[in-house]
Amino acid sequence: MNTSTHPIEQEEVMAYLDGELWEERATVVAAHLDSCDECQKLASDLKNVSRSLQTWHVESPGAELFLPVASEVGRASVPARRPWFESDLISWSAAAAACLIIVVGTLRLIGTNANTIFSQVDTRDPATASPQQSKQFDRLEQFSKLQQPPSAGPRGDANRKVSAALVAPAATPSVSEEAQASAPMIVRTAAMELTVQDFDKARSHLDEILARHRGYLGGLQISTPSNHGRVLNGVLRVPVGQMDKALIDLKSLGRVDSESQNGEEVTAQYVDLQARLTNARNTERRLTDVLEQRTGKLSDVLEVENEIARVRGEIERMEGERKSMATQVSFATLNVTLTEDYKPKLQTVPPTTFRQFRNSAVEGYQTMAGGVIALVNAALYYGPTILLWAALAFFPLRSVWRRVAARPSDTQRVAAS
Amino acid sequence: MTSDEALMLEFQRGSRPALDELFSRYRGPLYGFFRRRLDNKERAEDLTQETFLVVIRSTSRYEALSLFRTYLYGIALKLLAAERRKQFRGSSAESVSVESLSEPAVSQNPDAALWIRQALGKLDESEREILMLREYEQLSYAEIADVLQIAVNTVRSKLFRSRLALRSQLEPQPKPVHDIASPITPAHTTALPGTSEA
Repeated sequence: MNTSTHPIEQEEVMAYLDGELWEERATVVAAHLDSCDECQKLASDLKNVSRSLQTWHVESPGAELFLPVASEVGRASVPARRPWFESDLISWSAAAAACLIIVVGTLRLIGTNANTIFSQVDTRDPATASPQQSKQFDRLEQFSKLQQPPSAGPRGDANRKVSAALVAPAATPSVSEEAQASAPMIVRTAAMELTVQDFDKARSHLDEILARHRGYLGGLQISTPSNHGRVLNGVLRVPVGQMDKALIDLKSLGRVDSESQNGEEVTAQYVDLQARLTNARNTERRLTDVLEQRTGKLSDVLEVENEIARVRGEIERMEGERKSMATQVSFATLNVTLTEDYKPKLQTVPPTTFRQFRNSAVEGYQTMAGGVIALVNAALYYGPTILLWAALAFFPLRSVWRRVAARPSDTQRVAAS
Repeated sequence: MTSDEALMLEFQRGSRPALDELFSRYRGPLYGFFRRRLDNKERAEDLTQETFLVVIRSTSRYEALSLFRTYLYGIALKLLAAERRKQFRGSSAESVSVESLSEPAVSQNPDAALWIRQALGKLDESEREILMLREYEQLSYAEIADVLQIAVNTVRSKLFRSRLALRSQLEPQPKPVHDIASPITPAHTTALPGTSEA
């Protein structure tokens, strides 16, 4: 069959049977079919093919095939046509958050370099500052001018607030989530060594200082070495806002031998931990959703449950880390060493004569025994070496000795002549 | 009767009964779609549900530019392609267990059904898919072209070729088949044009 003899293509016959031809063309094909045996045969074959295919039926779906989860329907049937990430509110919020991050990041970058200047100048009056401090203050003034717009309010207040936020954590006993999010998180530690005259009194004052500053004792150890004063090693935990006052009070206990302070910023670790915690919680929620809403094999369910247990464990571990870090930031650690000023007692009453004899006898016996023991020790220590060399040198020395002894003396030589 | 597209738009506005109606209309056909292409009844049911899950989750993105059933079968084809890829990856490790679990789709005339499955299995994959979409899902040429993202003329010519090929196999009378027919779609089939993973 070709188009020269056949005005209708075979595919058109099929399309006609499928109802896929326009009305005009369908009329033409129908008319042709009435008169063409070959096309009638083709149409009949195509119908047979379709009829044969229709003999393959599948069973009806089971009763367990229901509309999936009502919660999904409720979640998805929100009338909003635009995706969530295209909404104006989200877009503006994201832009505002990005600007905030840039501003905070810039301030923190500047704060890292200017931290020392800020911390020193902020609490001092420029009028009473030393020349060096005044110079630093001038640098801060210049810096403040650069930072402030021309129409800004009274100079200094805003910078002081910023510097206060940059230099030290909140002065409250516990660091809130907001403060942690806005201010740098610094773990502060200090160490102090003191020599005290009255050890017992200093010990009791230590407890009073802790109570006054709402702190607690992290650890305590007291030792009494011989021929030395008593030593107290204590680890004090005080709210970070009370740290400076507590140090001043501690200095009043005695003479300060050494003092050091340290601050470690843990903001990055805290933010990272918080992000990992959030991710883990989201993962747990998704897994729980999967477990509740999806059907599957028992092995899959068990696998999901195991995964949930693992994620739960991670969340609890990170929660612990987060709390520990927050506590470290909220409470400063003071390592205090109190050493008693040692005064050897004067022996006023001399020992009796008998006691002196006895002491002399004991000491003499100890000296003798010590000498014997030292001799035995020396013999055991050097003996093997001496014996070895003696054995090696014995035969040569004996040979030499015999030759010397066999040689005639001058007298014997004269007599013989 | 309300059209599928109108029901979908109603569901977009929050109407749960509209979704129920859509589900009741397409529950059986969609299950049949998967059942004829997979040899596991449970997976066919799971994928039917997953197709509706995708519909529900992407409700807000639905636009009535094309027919709902085109949209629905488009999703179903993508899920099917993903399922086949998964089966292919797992076939090397679990070939024995998969075969033992295989459960061919039943028919009122099992011999004829197995013979049809065999005949369909001999067709070119894209031609077979076009033929099945036409014969079983009753999609028009334009709808098939839309679902598979190919030209309508291509659909028509491939459909014609596949029917002729099937006719040549139909001509001899079907003999009883004693062995278990392999599934229509071999495990190592490749994805159809335009059927990337959902």
